[in-house]
Amino acid sequence: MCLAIPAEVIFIDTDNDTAMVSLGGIKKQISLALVQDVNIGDYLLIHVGYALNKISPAEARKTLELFAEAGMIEGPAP
Amino acid sequence: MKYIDEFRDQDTARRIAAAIVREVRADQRYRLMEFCGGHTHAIFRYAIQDLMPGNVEFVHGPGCPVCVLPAACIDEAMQLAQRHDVILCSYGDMMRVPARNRRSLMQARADGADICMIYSTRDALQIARDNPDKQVVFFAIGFETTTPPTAVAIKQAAAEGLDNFSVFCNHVLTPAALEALLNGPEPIAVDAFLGPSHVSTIIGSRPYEQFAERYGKPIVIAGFEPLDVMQSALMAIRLINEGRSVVENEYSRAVSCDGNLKAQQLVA
Repeated sequence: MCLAIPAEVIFIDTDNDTAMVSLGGIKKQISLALVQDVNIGDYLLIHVGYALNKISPAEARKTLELFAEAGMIEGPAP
Repeated sequence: MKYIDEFRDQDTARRIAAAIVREVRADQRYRLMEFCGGHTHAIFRYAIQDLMPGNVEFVHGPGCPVCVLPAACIDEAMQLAQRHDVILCSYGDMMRVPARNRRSLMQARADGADICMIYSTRDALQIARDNPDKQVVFFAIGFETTTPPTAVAIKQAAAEGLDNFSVFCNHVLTPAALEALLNGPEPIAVDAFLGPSHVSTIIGSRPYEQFAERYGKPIVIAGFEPLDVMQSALMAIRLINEGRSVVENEYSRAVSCDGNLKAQQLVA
């Protein structure tokens, strides 16, 4: 139920407060009613036709670094 | 970065699993309750339990709004559609769920009730615009993730003067569910929680702090991708080992401390 998918903003329709997003090549119109300051190229979390939030690239990188750290302590897994 | 594949990498999964094996203490049990159905889905789909040491156990939590909805609500929705000549709009998740006499909305539709499966509240509004002579009822279910889209639809309908749009509201709150779990008659056999993923994009990580503190259970806000679930398990195991009952946020790329204030104002 609460599944949400990251999708890239490719067009913004300011008049209707909507955006066109691309999900691995599939285009979909979604509502921007729940988010602010959206720009083309941003990734949004899409749920039931609405953007729930913007995804932070900086925080995503930090999490990926955290994953990498887990493996660093004793080198790669067997 | 597309924010999906990077969080499903198999080699990284093996490394995090190895880190978990190093982190666990043989004399300690780690019962981690994953709150959401989304976490449970990842645990089964990617066989995450099989990558865990024997003393790390996932306990499946209450966080699926479809599962926690009383069957009586489905019966009521069905009655609305069957007896009151309305168009009932429902998310697909609810369509096959059996209620009284094992009947589902899908069966009611097959028997002639006007029930539309929709993806978004925006679709329900369009159905209301297209059918001005019919009452269109949206069967609203879900936690905080799904509540703001309902609020937007209600506001939009009011702005457009769509008098034939209404909502059968069955939204539920996550903190209340956590409170019920932790404050039950029996002490809960759980050592830490993997906290909600997309609910938390709306409400933020702050609302969980009181529970961590009051009930002495660490809570790690966890994304739904397999590496998110595994990393969150590792973080929870560390917190248990350190005896720290605090909230940590693994899903920081989408969840902040305060959450989505615009969405919160819409449902307030």
